[in-house]
Amino acid sequence: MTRIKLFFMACLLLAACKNEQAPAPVSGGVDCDAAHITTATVFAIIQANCTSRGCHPGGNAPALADFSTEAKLKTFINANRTVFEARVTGPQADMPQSMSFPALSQGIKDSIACWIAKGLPDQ
Amino acid sequence: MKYISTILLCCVFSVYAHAQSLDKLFDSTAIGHTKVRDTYKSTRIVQGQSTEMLRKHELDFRVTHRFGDAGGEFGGTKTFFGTDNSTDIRIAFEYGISDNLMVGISRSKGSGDLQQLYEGLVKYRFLQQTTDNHVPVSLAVFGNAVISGMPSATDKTSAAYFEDGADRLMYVAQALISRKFGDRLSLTLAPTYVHRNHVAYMDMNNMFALGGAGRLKLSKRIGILAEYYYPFRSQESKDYFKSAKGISFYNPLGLGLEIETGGHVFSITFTNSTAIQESQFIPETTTSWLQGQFRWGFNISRRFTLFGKKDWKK
Repeated sequence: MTRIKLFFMACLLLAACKNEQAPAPVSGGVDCDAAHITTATVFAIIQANCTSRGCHPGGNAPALADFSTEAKLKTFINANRTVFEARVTGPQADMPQSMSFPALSQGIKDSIACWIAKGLPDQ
Repeated sequence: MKYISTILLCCVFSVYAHAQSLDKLFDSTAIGHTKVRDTYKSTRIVQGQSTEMLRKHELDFRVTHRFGDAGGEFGGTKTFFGTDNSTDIRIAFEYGISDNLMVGISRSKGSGDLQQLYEGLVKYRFLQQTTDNHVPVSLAVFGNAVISGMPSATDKTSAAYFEDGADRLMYVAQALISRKFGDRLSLTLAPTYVHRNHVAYMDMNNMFALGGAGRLKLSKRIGILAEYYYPFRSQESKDYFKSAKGISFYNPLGLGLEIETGGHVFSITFTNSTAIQESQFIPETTTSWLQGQFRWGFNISRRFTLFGKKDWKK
């Protein structure tokens, strides 16, 4: 009986086999020259994707990256711009990590990169 | 794909049937054919599987951890050589149905395109090396299926964008061939096939890899481990990722120290790959030893005997 169950489970798993490839990526669609991206816009993205589930809250680990306020976010980026770009907006970005956070879309990454490139404008 | 599934299924069962006849041919239980034991101390070498099995009714609780980059841009003293970060964590329960068949379930964080991974695994050993070379090698097959529980990405070009549940699945099939040379040296060859149902543009759904691993015992309780996988990724795929995304793929190389302490087996490992699951560390390693992107980690295994030890005495 156990062998029959295992056989059917194997059948089920193998039946779910398929080969699918995601479509080719296109640009995030952000025209940085024309876009008006402010600190408030980016901070809302950070709150939704980086601090809302116990990560980067300030005080706790990782204490180095405290994104609990707009000012602290900007302080961190000014001091660690290369690291932030590599991990958040770069081609090998690995943030946000797990914790039920979905990956950032290319459009959001491009928006954050544009805001950094323009010198973190508030207005 | 359904035809391939059917062929694979037939292969699995024909291997099982063939194994039965091999068992009879190389009956290592006959008088004069003493089995070679402890080719490795654990069911895993560094990251990949070994030909070692759990004994019948033995439950193995395993915790595996990989820290952040020890060196390079994200390592050094500011992260205390990676210990502030964890790239992957796996917690597993594995169980020996017989001395040659084990199954297991696990949950891991995941480190690659997919995260929040739930795994079901099975490993069957159909040959065990004997001291008189009647059976010169140990031979086992390993297979697992992994499903991601993460929320789907909103970006349709992402490998983590799931149109249906099947997009979340990944599979591994592996043959393990081991031989213990004398008391100190053990070597393993591991031809591996990885299938991922849904991948990013120009990534490969199906990938073969060849693994090689070994152990050199320093004393009765301590051994040095090494493990290397060569994934056969197409040049076209490598070129695309390099030019379009700036991503280079590297071959996973792991080194480790295996320590046995009573009922525990403790392995300290150093790997360039960030992931623990075969379906991720073989095709998706993008970190390099030469750029300081290696990490230390550990495997802890604690075994419990269920239903008494009466089966062991047989």
